[in-house]
Amino acid sequence: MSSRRLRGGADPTGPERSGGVDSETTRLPAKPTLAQPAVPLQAGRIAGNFLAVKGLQKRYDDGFLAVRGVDLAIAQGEFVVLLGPSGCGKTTTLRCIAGLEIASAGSIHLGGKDVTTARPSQRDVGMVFQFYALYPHLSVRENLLFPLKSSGMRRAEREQRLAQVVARLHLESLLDRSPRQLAGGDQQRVSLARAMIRAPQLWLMDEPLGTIDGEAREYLRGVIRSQQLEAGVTTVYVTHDQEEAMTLADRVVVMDQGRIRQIGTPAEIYENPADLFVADFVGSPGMNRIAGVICDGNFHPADTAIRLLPAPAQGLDGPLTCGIRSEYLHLDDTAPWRGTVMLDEYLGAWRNLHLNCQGQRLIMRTPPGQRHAPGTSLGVRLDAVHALWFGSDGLRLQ
Amino acid sequence: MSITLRAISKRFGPIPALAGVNLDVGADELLVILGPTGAGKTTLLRCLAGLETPDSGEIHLDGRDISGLSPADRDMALVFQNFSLYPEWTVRANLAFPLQAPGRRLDAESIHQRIATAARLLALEPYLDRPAHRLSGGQMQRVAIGRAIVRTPRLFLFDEPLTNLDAKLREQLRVELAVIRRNLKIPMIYVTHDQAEALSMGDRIAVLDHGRILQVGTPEDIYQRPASPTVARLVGQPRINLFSALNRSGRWHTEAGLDLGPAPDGATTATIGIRPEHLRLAPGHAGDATEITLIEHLGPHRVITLNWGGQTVQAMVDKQQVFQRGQRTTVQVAHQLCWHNGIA
Repeated sequence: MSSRRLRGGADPTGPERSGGVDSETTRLPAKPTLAQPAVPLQAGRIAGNFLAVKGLQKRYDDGFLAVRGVDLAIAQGEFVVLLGPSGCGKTTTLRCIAGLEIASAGSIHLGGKDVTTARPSQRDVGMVFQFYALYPHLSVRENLLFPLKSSGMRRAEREQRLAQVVARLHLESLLDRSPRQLAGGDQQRVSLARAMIRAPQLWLMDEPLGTIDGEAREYLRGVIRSQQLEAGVTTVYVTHDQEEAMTLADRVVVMDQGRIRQIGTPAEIYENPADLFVADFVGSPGMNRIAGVICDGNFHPADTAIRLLPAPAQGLDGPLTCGIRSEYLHLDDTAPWRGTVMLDEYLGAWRNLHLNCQGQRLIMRTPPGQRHAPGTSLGVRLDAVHALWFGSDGLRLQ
Repeated sequence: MSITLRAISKRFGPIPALAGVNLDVGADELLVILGPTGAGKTTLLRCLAGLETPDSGEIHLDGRDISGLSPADRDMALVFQNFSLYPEWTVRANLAFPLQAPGRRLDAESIHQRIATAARLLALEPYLDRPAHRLSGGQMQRVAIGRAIVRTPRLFLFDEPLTNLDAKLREQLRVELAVIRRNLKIPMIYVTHDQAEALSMGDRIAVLDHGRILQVGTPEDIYQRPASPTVARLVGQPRINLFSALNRSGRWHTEAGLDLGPAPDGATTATIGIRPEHLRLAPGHAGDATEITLIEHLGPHRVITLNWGGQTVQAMVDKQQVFQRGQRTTVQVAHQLCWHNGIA
């Protein structure tokens, strides 16, 4: 895998990575309560271009074109998540915005200023990486104060900022310890605090929760969101985890192979995906796709004569893909289209029922108390109004 | 084939990694060991494989004590989180390797057969002649699983095999693995910290924390009838809401005065657990004390964080129900769990 290209790299503020401590995390305080945002987000604000990326391309020395023309217009105070599989160019895009990579083509404007070739330190951004970048020889307190000292802030204000961030992230008991003595989740909490002690123009985060499990992960996710809402700092956040993207973002930018597939709110990219890639990548599970043909005004699943749905428009003919979310499929004994149960996954609050319908695999969301044995034959009905249609190029039909 | 663990204990210096673990795994069974980081899951697996020697306790395979056997003689197949493949070798050579061990004496034809079967099960047929380093992460992990399958061992030991993969791929492989497993008829012990993996894959789940088994049961048992608040918090996403409650005139109340439903006679204090899907919300009035602080769109459902009479709780609602941040709501409890003094 191309980890050399995509991971790590130096934090412009300097320090080395400390080791991957993997012991128990200290007990977490109660979930953070969410303050109202300092800059309330209204629909109208979204159109702003506080951060404007235009025609961004990045070609590495080995010739690999990691980013192939990315355009972004991000409003002040907005939380934007770059989402995509490994190798999609999301981290490279973020590193170009940070100034850790210099764009091969295109421009980046921040707060109305062209920063395309500016050094990281001239951009006034705070960064958090997947691997905690803390100075191992300094205490947690000194690590937190470092970015303030280097900016020449007065002592009284430094102490005030420290007290605030320590209280918000519950770091009181860690202040005099060395990062080396901390578990992974606590180290990452300190890294976040170090970025959040300042309110720069931009926070940039590259999978900051990637190495953290379970409850610590949820807690820190809540901290990031509540701190961002409170401070109103424009944030760009990179992840491959669609659930993380959906829960954090005002808008999600779905990327694949160096290009943007779609930009939208979590609800938009889930309910109205622009193409089959987004339909599949967003949502757990991804959208079901049914291959078939339009014939005589009806959609027939491939290799069947079943009239599953009316054609989406008049005059259509030939192969088409119907996309439908698992919650819009229902069991119906009278339905002509039948499937065999392959697997019935119990997930606590619901089940994912995996069906093989004449060669096509479907996942249906079913109630937790309704259990079906593998091999059972069941009738499948679709909510016609929620069926989406995709052409052979994978793009949504409008 | 059945496996029995009796009172397995293991310390590393002053730290007890395992403290008297008892477990039975039936023939054909997939037993998931679920626990947070540092619970002792991997140590338990390594004791089974013979890579660690327990300080005390016994391990029986079909009634025979195997404590003295070397890892090779135990005939168990391990799959780790970090796939250990020979990067320059082809997929075929990687799959053949475990079959060419000196003790096995398999002829070329049966080696070929087994590789073909594993490749078909794991959809690796198109890649058999590709060097391992040219595979994607998901393909590499399938080859690592294939190397365990070709051996037809007595027991599979999986140590978080999907953890290093992208979230999306993890979900797909979890399903593939579950379907493949049904056809193999070999018992499997599967270690994970991922609650969805545990619920989805396990015939039974053993919940491990601080080196102790907290509960063993079917996924439905663990989710619907957790033995303790600790177990309850380990399964379910978002997590269960927990409340400390006092019995006031026959009803459970929180300190702040929230009514959490009827309490039995004689009980004084309890921990009450309410799963997010069992909190029912409806639009309220301006004066209501309950306020929505955050709404997360998670596809089929929404997760709503609310301040319910001073306590932050999470509710899971259908996406057809529309709410706004800052909106006042009423809350109804459809179902609750109750532990008196921590025990159900």
